[in-house]
Amino acid sequence: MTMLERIRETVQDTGLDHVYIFRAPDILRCVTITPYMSSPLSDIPMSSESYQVAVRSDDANDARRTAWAAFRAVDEDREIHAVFRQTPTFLGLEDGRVLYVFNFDVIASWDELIEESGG
Amino acid sequence: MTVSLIWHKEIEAVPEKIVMEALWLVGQDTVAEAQNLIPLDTGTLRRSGTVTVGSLPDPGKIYPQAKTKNMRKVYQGQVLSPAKVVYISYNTPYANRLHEDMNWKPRGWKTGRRKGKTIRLKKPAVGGPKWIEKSIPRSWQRLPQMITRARRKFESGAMK
Repeated sequence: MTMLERIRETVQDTGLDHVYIFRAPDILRCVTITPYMSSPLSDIPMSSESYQVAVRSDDANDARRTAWAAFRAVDEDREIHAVFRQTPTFLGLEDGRVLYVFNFDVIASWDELIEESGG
Repeated sequence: MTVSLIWHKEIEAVPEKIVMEALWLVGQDTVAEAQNLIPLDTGTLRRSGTVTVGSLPDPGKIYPQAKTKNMRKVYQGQVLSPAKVVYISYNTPYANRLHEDMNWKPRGWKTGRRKGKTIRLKKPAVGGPKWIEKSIPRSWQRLPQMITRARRKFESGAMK
């Protein structure tokens, strides 16, 4: 399981459905996980990977609650060791849906990024 | 597994005013690095990038001026508060959204018009989100050089 899949599973395990990687389909509520930056560490085959979790919902309270549920799930997963750049933040409206996002960094080995770790 | 840690011990001995100047220079370098990554339409967003010491600037003041003037060095030499922090900010109402929204895509080719001329030209819509985060790692690597530059500035008497 790659790190990206691991994060999706963690978010899904909280009971949230419609968790997507990259995509944000036009449905009432969806959670999108997007990796957006990678900085290799010096000397060792590991990288600092940046991810964004975006929650879109037609209901503002639902969007906020969902974003915080996803945030807590990532925070409590001791295997991810996320370092957050911010807590869930309202970003605006998108086609009538409320958009909340948060970003975090994860230190991951290159193996965790590209192939199954066997776990 | 071996983990190597780089500790810039020499920086501990650098006077605070030189460190703050070096951080300001890193901020300026970040704004320059980010320039080509920033979404471009009229250029206001690109011109609204500032580096400030102590606190964030008033975006309500920056935004109107950025429509015609590059604001990058407007706060040079100013300390907005005693806090030992350097901020890089882009000061338009839409900067936050464009920086954070990963779903945002530049428009395709659009037709623009050069001021004062009737020629209509195609110009590409460029850039994308996260331009600050993408630029900081490269600029941050230049911190030692910026400390040297800042030290030279103080030694030459250009700064007090």
